[in-house]
Amino acid sequence: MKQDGGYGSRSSFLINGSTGKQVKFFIDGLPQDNLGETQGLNILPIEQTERIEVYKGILPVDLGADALGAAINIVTRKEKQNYLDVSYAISSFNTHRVNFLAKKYFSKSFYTNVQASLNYATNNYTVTAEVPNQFGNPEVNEVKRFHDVYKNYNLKAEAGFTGTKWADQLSLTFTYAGLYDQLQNNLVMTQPYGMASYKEQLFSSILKYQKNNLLKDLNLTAFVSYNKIKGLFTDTSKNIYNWNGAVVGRKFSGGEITSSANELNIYTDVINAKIITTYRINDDYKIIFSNTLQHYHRKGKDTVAQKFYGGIDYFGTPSSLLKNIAGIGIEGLLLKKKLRFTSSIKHLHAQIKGYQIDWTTIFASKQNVNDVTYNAALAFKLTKQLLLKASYEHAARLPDAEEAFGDLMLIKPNPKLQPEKSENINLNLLYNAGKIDAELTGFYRKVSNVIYLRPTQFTSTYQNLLRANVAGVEAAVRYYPFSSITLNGNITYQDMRNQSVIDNSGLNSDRYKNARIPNTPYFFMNGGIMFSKNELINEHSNFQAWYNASYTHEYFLYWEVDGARELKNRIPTQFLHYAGITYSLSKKGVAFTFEVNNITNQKTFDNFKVQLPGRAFSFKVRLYQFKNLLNQ
Amino acid sequence: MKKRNLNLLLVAFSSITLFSCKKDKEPENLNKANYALTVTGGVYPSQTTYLFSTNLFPTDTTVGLTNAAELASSGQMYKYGANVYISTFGAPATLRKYEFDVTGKPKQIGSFSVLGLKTFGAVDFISETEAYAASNGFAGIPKLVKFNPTTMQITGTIDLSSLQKPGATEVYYLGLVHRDDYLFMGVNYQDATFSNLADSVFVAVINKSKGTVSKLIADGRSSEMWVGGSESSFDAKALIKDVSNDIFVMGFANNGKPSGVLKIKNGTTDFDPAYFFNLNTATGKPCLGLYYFGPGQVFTMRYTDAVAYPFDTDANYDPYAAAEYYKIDLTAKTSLGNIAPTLPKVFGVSTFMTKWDNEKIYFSAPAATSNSIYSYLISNGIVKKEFDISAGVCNGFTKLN
Repeated sequence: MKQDGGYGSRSSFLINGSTGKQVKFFIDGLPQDNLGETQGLNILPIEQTERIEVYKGILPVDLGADALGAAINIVTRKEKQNYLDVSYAISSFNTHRVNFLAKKYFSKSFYTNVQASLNYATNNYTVTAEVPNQFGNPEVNEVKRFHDVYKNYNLKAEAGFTGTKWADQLSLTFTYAGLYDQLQNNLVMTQPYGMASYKEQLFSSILKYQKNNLLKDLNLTAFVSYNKIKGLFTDTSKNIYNWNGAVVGRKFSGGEITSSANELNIYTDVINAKIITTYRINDDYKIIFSNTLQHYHRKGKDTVAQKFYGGIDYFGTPSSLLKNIAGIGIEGLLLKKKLRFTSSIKHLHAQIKGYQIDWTTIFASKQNVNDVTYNAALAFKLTKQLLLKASYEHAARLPDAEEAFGDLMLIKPNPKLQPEKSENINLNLLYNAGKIDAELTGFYRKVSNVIYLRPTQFTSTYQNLLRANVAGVEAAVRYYPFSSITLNGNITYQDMRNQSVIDNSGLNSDRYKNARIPNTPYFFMNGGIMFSKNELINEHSNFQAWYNASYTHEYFLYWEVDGARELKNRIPTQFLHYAGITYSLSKKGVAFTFEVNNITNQKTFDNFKVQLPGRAFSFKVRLYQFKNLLNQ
Repeated sequence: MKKRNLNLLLVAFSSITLFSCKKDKEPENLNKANYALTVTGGVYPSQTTYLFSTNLFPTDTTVGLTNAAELASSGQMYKYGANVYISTFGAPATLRKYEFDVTGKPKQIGSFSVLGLKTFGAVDFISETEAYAASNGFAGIPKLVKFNPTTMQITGTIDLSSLQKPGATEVYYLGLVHRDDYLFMGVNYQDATFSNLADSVFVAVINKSKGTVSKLIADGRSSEMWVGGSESSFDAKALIKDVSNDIFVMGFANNGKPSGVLKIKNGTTDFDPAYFFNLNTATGKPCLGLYYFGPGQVFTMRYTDAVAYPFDTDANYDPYAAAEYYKIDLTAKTSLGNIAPTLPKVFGVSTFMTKWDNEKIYFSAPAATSNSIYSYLISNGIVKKEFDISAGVCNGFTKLN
């Protein structure tokens, strides 16, 4: 997982050679595409999470996703008991996190559930930056980030029935969430900003129905959700800041980031509907059908920019995306249940209605995109301890709203985008022998039509251009030498090579063919040890101490084949250490956690060499009570 | 006799010393930088500029980037004295000064930045201690930076606020040339619809001594100022100064007006109403920029297909190379034709021409399927391919020593 700044900043994942939007993100099986910035793995309190499912290679058909080879599904807590769980954490850089969870069963089947969180961080960590002196000569200084406040709130209320004759679960959830994010710098951290900000609010409602054996051997799960998102991008200051936070000049016109200045309101409506049915043919076979529908509609309004552009409203034209993914799959057991196979086929459809601006003319654009993806996977139990898995997938990913319609700010629309495609082959060997769990994975992907953000001198546009081959190996092991100690480690090497031959200027050049894709880590590993001891000092207590380390080998910001190696821009090797302790008293329902991240205070960077926080301390206290308290 | 012998001895010693010097002379450094080049290239995720040197003139070989310094984003090279300077795109606008070490690798020896600004439109060197960098106006900072190229320190700024016009949402400062106590700077005004605010070629006349804008002159015989450049840059220029100290200004074809050349006569600060060289008429197609290397050695980029003019793209905005090198006569106001009709059509905006002796003019030919540097023999106009570029667009090539 990579973040592009401090607390609350965007995070991205690198899984089996897939990254960015190629990795789909779900909460309880519901796609989070196009739902804005308020719901994310980077800010979701861990106390609200039961587990995180990471899918590599072939995705289950019931996920209903158009991912290219990986997905993450966060499964939230669903204990069938009453509970109250409150925590507060204070961390370096004025970071405060409050979390509140409560669930109450009013009868055997009717419950309500409230989840709330409040997060705040000034992110005023120290970075190394160039500050021009009185002669304009850049001087390297250690400065504190001065305009990077992040606030986020999230209130979720749920009411529902479980375990009734007519529903295993029927629930209605309302969410009200928001964020305020100060924008500190440009993509590569060379230009600081002191006033620009982004605000967002999300109103969401989700209706979920689930029933196993609705008809004989037929299970059904259905969701429908309506989401309203309101964003506000403000860039109206003419101030020019240096990295010391001082105003060193005023622009004649425009804002800090854009030439027009902006007070851009963005109104988005998203409807998601999903249905999953499973039919059990017999004990060894079942058929799964899923359909995921999303309708996205966005419109903007910016009176400041409209005034600048002489009354022309570049943001008022609506954009819409209708996306449907229908899939059917089969799962079965063969050879005395030693061989498990799955296979599925999916139809992907998108209707993209948007517009492109050619200087001053707005051209409406409408296109229908269709694709069919298919896959097959085998899992063979070689021995009691050894499982061999192999899979092939022809995968595709439809353009998402940001890619097709831009962000109305710095990314221009391109509604004519085509789906990304990939041929994936995965091979896994899993070993489980009591004290050891181990996994060895090999993967190969041939990706075409890669959708990437092509920066230009003024704005950026997503385009289909690149073709790439990705081959990699990954090994992971978990070892339990004693009941109180767990050791774990994983290592990944992935070789991502470009296959395109046309460069940005239109020159036909095969110079970059087979060159390593820049700006992406290719060798990294993680390792850790955890010590856990019950009844230490006190009865009903649990003590945990852990140490983790992560290593990312250096990689180049731009094409490896160009330039002298010692004169190239690079993300240096990063070797980071983390440690923490938790002491909990389960009877009293209290836990204390103390953590240190980046213990050695090493300089860390995101993929664009934006500096990330140094050493950070965090202390959390958590109070929790289960059904006993609430039943009293 | 004794004295004579001593003198002979001294002569002999000197000879031995000289001989010894010759014999013990340091071996020639085969890595010494004699030529410098910049190349902007790359595909995903963005463009980068590479500055590198060669010891020998790179003949009949493919020039690579193995000893190049990497600069993020596209960049423009300037040559002044023994140094090269590079301005890259991306805030803050930064001008970097380079020399080359004994291994031939570039070494940055100075730089200055202007916060809030994305790039410098043109850099004009007056002397070892005086130079000017025009801020590119779309960042909304109307000023001209005065700096000392030796120390690379900003020594002052000239306020350009008076050049603003009502209704101009974007103001671009394009191209610089100096004469007497004046700087002449091209100005382009765009309105809210990204159209020409007024179909005229604008040039700001700036008094260097006073550090103020003297006036803004305009001429409606061509449509607008477009390309930039200065005497120290390699790209096609908007303003050039000839041996008679006349300044010629290139106008861009748009809105029914032709591309053409205007003149500001020596000793004056206004357009010469009697002079206009209609390049559309003379060459039959719209033209872009001027390359000037002395009397009789003036060139422009002629676009064979107006669709590609001036962004080098076709109707679908895909790259489209349609330009060719044309020789023109500024005095006779005539076209002397394509200097190399067999050459592939090139991306006109990405071209350069340069000259460091009286024998040849070197120029680039970035085309869809080839990317090479050619020479033009001044004496007879013979064009010959010199070497290929292995990656990206070569936007500067100079002899250092």
